[in-house]
Amino acid sequence: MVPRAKSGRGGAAATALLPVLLLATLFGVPSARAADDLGDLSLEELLEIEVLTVSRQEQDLLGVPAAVAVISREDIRRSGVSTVTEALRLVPGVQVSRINANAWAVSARGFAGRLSNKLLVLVDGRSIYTPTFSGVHWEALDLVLEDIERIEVVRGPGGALWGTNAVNGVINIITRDARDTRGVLVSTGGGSRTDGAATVRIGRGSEESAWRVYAKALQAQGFDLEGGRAAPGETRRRQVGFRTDHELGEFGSWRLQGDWYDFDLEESIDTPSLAAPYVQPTCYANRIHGGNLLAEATIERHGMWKLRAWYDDAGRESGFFNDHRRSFELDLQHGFTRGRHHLMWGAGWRRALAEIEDTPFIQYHGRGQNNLWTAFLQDRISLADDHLRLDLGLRAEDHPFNPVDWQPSVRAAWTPNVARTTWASLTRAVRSPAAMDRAVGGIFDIVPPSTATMGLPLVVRALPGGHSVGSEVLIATEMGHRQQIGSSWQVDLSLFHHDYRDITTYTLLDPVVRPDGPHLEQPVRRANGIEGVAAGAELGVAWQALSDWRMRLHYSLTSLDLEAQDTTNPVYAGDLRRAEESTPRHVAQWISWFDLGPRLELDTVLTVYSRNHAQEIAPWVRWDARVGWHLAPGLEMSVVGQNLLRSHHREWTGLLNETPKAPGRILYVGLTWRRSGW
Amino acid sequence: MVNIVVRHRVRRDGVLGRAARARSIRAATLVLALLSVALAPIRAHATAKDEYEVRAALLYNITRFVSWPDSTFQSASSAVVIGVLSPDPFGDKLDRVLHGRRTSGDRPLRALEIRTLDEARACHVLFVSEEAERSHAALLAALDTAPTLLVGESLDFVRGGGGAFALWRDEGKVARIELHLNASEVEEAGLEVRSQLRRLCEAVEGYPAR
Repeated sequence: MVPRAKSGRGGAAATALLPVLLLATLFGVPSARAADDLGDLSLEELLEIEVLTVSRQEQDLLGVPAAVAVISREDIRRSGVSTVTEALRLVPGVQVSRINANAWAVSARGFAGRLSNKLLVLVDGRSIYTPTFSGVHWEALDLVLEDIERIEVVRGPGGALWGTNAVNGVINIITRDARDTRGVLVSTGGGSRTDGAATVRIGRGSEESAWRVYAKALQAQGFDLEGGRAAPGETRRRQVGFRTDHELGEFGSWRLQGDWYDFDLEESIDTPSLAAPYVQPTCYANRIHGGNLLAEATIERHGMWKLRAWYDDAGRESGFFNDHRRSFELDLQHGFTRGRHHLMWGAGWRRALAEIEDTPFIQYHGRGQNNLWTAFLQDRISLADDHLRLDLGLRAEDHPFNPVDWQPSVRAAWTPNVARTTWASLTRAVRSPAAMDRAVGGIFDIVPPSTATMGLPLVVRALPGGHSVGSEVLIATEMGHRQQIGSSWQVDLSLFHHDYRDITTYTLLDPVVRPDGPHLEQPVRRANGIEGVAAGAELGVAWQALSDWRMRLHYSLTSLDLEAQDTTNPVYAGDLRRAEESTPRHVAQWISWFDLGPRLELDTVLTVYSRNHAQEIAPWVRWDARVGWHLAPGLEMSVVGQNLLRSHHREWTGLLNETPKAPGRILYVGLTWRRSGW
Repeated sequence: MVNIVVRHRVRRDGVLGRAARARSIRAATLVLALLSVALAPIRAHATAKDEYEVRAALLYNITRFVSWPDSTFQSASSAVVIGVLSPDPFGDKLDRVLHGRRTSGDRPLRALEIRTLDEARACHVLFVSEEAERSHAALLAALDTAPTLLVGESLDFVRGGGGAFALWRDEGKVARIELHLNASEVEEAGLEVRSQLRRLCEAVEGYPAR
């Protein structure tokens, strides 16, 4: 075992001192007692005070010691997106690349990929991250966009509060309470890629208890290939679902929700073969279907109790890959206050069953089921008259065949007044090995013959890592500042430094000549083989220029520097390069929402990306625009153009050999009719 | 031995090695954190205040200059009840202002979140935020001539919405909260507003303040 270079390790101790130093500095200076008690002022004085408007959303974010961004309902509506995944483009630091009509690569702060495995994604508390393939199947996520309350995005490790796998970020999609969606919603549309889309939602009930049901369907075509030739990608989606919310006695509430879906998604994959031309674009008809059910009860008695149970069944059938995953999870959380301390603790159990059918390309060598236990504890301490908040948290996770993973975090936020917060955090986060690392193997790639391969085709065969694959570890140092300037400017800045160790990759074994073909085989084995550093910043500036014109400027800087951990054990350079260079270093975005009179809305998003080295994409500009028109009370029409500047533009070439598509200009016209109440 | 899949990595680190760079990033982070914290106490006395802190203080002051008939209290020591129609925009700001304070009649003050018509009728003051005004239209219409003082946020509320007072945010060069009074609504509720409060209120169009 070669000793690892002690590069960033010493710095970890220095920054562990950060929160301690924060405290020391504060207690050393006169405490900042602003004249907060307005009750002592006279009426005349009160009427003279200048007030700052902080929206409920901003109020919730104020004082949070993390790089949180919130995509509100208005953001989703005015961006004109038709899927939740596309809405995530609005957050600096989150990278969304559209691979084809039904696939996306989404990640935060680097490590981009279709199966980007360092992101936890939740819908109302249910994790949609699949532990089998350690990724999120974004194509299986379909929601009624108008019924999303908000999307909270935390860049960086989620800290002790969030569930498993919150390493580079957490995306929490929260749907609206059924009591807020009483009434009818009908939405239809079509466009250049969409043959037709329709959504109907009906909600009934009262302020105490209500339910809603919805049905949605979509028929769309795929994107062209880079040269402009048409490619398969026909999409047919059908989904129904419901949600019901009730008051529980005087002190609580409970809810039940579920969805059932059946999608037919076509996808073209460059299928490897041993004979010339070694790669054959083949059309696969994927059938993705399943359902989920979630129940949650919240009671405010002796603190706040939350009990949640969910079940998720997801199946995927295609020629390339077939699997059927079932998961069940039970979670309990309790929070209570004792003096200056607000304590939260929780425990959870998840059971996952996976049945994976072997195909010539992918083989599964493991047991189909596993249990996961997790528990967390967090103490939120209020100091300096509520101006300083200190969060001390610890999460423990127990995966099969893995020693217990500990994820401690220390976070501090200083909020001297309603206008600003400065925060810093130090966290250890862990990604535990998934079936993909331990048990999945198959043909990774087939390289046509060349002189380097002795005139034989080269087959890169991936071998599963087995139980020797351990957890990936991240030690993250972050800090940030949020400020409201005057009544119309807001600035949100986050800086991060991530120190990674034991990132899984493919290590090279000795190549072998195989008689069938004949061909040269390069076996690669999944192992913990990469370490490195990611550093950067995210900046968001919001400006309410006029009462009907709101603008935002976003900028993100992401820089990764990775290398093989053990120089005597070489890694598959393609994987390393992809992990390091698939995120553009600079991304800048300008968002403008303008209300022209009471009926018209003119919205624009302009995004500039710097070079994407691993994907070989030159710097480019993306322009999305929307015109919204309030035709009558409750009736709204929108005309949306996405990626207007390019007729074809490839954003991503997948590792799974998807034939490179070039999603270009899309036009969509939608009509939505709403009526509240019943 | 065929080794085509491994490339020699070109070091692009420049003058600083990666280890040294990581250390200097850590050092810079530390310095920045200390600076921002050290500077914070100096700037802590902001001139601008949270609008709901101001509204909470104004609500308290309204109770100081309004008298309710004795029939609305169970005993001499019963509290003046300030109801806030759900959803509550105050958080704990109203509780903090009312804590330890009393009205001029030496009655304690209590704040409650209100969801139903019966609860609303039991209040001396009912604060109705703009959001609550929209979602409780039926409740507000049913709240007739009870001696409940309705305090809202929008000007529409006092102009025929049933409101007696509006704590309205005026977006002038500088944003402030103004007090708007509909004197006839106060009379209908059978309440008296003392002159110290009356003279600082803006009159609602068509409804004299005095």
